[in-house]
Amino acid sequence: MLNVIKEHWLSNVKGDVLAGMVVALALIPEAIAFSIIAGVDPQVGLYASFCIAVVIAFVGGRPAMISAATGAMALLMVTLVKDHGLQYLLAATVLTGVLQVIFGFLKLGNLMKYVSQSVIIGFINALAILIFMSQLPELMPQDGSNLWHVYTLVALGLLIIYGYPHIPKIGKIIPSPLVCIVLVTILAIVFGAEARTISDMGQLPDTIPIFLLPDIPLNIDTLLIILPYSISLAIVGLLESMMTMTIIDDLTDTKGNRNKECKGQGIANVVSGFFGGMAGCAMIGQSIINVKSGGYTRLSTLIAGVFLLLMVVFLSDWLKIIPMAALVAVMIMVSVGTFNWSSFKELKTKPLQSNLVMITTVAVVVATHNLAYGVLIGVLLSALFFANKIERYMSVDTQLDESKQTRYYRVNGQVFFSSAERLIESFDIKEAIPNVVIDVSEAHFWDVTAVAAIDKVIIKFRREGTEVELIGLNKASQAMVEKFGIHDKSDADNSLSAH
Amino acid sequence: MTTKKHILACIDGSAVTESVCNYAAWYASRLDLSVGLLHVSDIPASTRRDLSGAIGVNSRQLLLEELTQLDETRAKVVNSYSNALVQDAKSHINSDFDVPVFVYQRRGKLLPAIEHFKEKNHAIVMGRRGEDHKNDRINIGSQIETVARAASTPILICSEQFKLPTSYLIAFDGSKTAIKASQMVASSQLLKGMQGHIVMIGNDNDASKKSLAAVTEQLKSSGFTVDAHHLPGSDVVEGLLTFQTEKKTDLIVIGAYGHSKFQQLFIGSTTTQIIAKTLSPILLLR
Repeated sequence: MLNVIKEHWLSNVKGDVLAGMVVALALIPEAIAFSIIAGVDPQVGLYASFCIAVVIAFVGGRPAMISAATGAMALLMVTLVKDHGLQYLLAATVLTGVLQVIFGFLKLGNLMKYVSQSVIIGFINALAILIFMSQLPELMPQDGSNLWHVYTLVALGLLIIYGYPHIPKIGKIIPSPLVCIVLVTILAIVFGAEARTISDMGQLPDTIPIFLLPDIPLNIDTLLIILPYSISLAIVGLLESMMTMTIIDDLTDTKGNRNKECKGQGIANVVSGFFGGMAGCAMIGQSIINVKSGGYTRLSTLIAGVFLLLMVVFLSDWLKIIPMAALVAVMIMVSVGTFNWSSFKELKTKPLQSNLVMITTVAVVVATHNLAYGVLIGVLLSALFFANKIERYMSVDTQLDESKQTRYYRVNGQVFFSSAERLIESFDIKEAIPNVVIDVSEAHFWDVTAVAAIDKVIIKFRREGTEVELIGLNKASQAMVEKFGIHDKSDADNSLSAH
Repeated sequence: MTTKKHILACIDGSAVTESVCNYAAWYASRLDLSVGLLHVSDIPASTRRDLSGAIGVNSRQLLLEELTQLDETRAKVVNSYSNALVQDAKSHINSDFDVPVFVYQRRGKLLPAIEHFKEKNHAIVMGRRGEDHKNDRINIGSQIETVARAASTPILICSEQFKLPTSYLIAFDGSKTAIKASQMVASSQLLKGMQGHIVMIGNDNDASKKSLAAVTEQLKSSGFTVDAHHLPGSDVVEGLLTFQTEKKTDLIVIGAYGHSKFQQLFIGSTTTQIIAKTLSPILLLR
């Protein structure tokens, strides 16, 4: 017990505290930006980020992973907030958490193995594109802001973010997004830029969050309103968390616990909902920043959450004057950092089908703004392509033994639903010959369709008056044939006519 | 050869390594088994400190590349240390004992490494304290208890100097664990032919006396040379250790951890106290 606490919390205190603080500084603009995407006050995202980060530090399945309010989740909430308001969002957040805990107990984290690498890359790229697109409204003409002023501030912000780390010595001590926000804010005020600030976007928190039950009627109508949103949120939240987990597993060369993480995400969202926060999940970009800054244990996640809240509560007056343009610059950095740029190069080297899966995933997500649909289509497409590939590993050779008046058929490879039809067509039923031997010792029958197909062939031969012998069923195939086959049962002919 | 069991000697390069090798070889030669030399190197993944908080194009791939390189460099150093260590240990055993020696090097923590060989382990031999505790005043290594609780095989905890055992002491308290431990001694060739003492401190009730007599009888009928001692006194640990010092027995045999971990939080474990207070080698039987 003590050893676990030591290893998971105290094995890297200095690195974790520093990394946690860097992450907290980077989380503030993101939490505000994601709240604005969802259409709620910045305090909803900030409370969510605090609650989720702190809770997941204790109950998560992957040390050093950062969870908070995220863009992927915010995008799913837009219509709920617009049509029904904040209270319904809080209730949906709690329900999302409950669903995720159930998913955790059902061990659905293991389903990640069906999500191929192409789908994951598609998901990540789609996420980056969505984050970028969500910033575009700020770059459109708006009341009270001069477009050229906004563009100049954003460009300046990007210059600082990417240029600052290259300055020797101080470049790697102070987080560049923070430098960007401070400098852009000062410049905007000094030159009196006409640009919107955070205070135009809604309320900022000035206290620590308090426990509140969502103010909604507890009836079936409410449930029907929030359930579809909660299901999407639960799935997308877990998907992004599992993908982030894989990335952090790779970076730190350790292994996280998937089902524990599912439950942890659920608990974190329940807490967030009751404390006035929106649903969130693990963050790819922030988790990378954490590892890059030297964060390695649960302590860094905890520090990130606590430091975030302290900063926000004590500095809320200063946060108000930050121009939105500075946040846009930070979010563009997050979007660029999330996108998998090498996937462009790999388009040339990877097989066409993988590329199709990846691009379809991206296209579906960008069209629907729902990452769950993209992953679903991507997984289905990968499965179809796989079936199509395996189907080719089925062939039938034939040989005639004239002295015995027997034709030998030899079936090779995988027989299942998609290769079954080709199997039937490979037999020459109309050949007038007294004996047929079908050797399936090199074949494997996977499903009912395969068994039905070989049944069909045997019955057809028998109706032509041909004696059929089936040899060489291997054990697995035999179990399948015995369970579902009909040719060796007495009413075989009748049952075929019923087809 | 692959199905034959081995005595797993856990070495780590600390002062006790030589003694661990000797005891393992002694153990193996008594039972005609082989010695499995295990060295586990735990290399925590590299961290880097770049507080710029910026993520640029392909920063994930670049970071992975960089961390991999750092780890690789460190792992190579650790590997060559590990290689030298096990080769030394192997040639040391080969020069003094005539037992087959197999070398295993693994990464990560000790416990998973021991469990990896679960099927083959006949017994585990460890040092009293490991490399991490070179200068600690505490007399018991952090790994021993963890391993002792998880493992299902006997564990021999070595002293710092090897002394060929010629006598042993069985700590007996009439409990199920103690009876089981004595039966295990009776069914093994390990201690046969050596002078044995079976010692019970306090426990002045008929049931305990009866089981002490029964166990002694059982050992004698299996051909062991063993004397039963029932000593008065209330402090079990103190009593046992005084007896051990007086008779100069070479090995303390004890049933491991009768109490559950939860109970132990409140009442402590006689086993842990004995391990902590003596310098004699201890055979923990499970």
